[in-house]
Amino acid sequence: MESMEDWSDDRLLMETPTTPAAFGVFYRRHENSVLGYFMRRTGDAELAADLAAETFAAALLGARRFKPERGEAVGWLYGIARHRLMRSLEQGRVEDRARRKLTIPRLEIDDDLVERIEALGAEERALELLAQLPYDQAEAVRARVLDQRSYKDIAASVKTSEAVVRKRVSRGLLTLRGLAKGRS
Amino acid sequence: MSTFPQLEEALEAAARRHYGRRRRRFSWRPFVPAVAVAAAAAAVLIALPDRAAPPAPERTAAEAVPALTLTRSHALTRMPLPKQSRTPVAHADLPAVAAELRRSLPYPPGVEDRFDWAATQPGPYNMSSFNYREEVQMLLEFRAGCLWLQYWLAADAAGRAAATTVLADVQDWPYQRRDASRWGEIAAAAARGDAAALVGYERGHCFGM
Repeated sequence: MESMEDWSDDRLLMETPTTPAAFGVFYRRHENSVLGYFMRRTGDAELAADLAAETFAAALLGARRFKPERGEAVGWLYGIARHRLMRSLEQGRVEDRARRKLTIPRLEIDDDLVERIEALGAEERALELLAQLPYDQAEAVRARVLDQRSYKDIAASVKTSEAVVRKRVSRGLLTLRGLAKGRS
Repeated sequence: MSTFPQLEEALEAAARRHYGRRRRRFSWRPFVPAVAVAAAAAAVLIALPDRAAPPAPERTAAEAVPALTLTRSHALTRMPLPKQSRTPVAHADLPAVAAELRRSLPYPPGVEDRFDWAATQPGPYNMSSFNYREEVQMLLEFRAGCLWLQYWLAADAAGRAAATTVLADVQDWPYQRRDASRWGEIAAAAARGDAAALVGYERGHCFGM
């Protein structure tokens, strides 16, 4: 029998009204990226956590209205995240309507969690920069630096020589350095 | 394991409470015969000449979208993101900076962005505060996109055509291009005339504007 962990995002959302545990899987799958998204934009771990909680609460309330034919679940989730961010900016406080409606308590955040969320923000930034590289360089840097795979292994999987992979990683890192300098 | 297992648990519990307690879907089946009779009666009434009802008001032609507005929108798609991405703005200067930046943004005819910049919270440590010119530009672009979305929904055919052109650009405006957003989907819905989808986007994306 297929595990819920293998379900697509679309299916997880669509099945949430009848199988509430599906939303837990959806949450686990996207928690870090949503936290990183907010951390990167607010620069504050506590705000990022509050916004993430509100975003997922709103997603849960709206799961029944999710229509896969109108776009992917992750795009839908980021639409909510972005909307919550903009609304909070406009209102001058983190919106918490959905969280309160579902009586979800406010998150308690200690120093360890602050550090962890800050790291997610940095990861998000790295991924943003990575997305600006040509595809082959981005994949090489991702495989080598983020996934810590060996050059040999990467070369085998993309069916090219180790030297080519090394060149792609080196060029990619050089470009990233330039991009990071330009944006800091 | 998630970063916030307590939130994960709370969400799952909330999902059970929220969806578990929902009423069963209402079924029309038992009422079908009565509804059919009522519908037939209504059809007869509609077919009869209605002397009491006034003629439907003619839709007045909306003010045309100037070509300059469309040019301005398209020009933004080619504007690069500034390298220096942080230009501080004092809180007291926000309305003036916003007014200046608004001049380079396209707006639908007769529509103004009335966001109250002076009412935002001052101070760099408050999340709601705006401290940089780029933040102001980002929000102005976003709000202008929403105003075009709302305009599309209310406009006549010509207005919709112009709004569709602008909505196709919004995803490439400097600060919308930078962030993952739904403007691409919104533009596609506008291009295929999918008003129902746009109503959904308007509610989800531009709610409260």
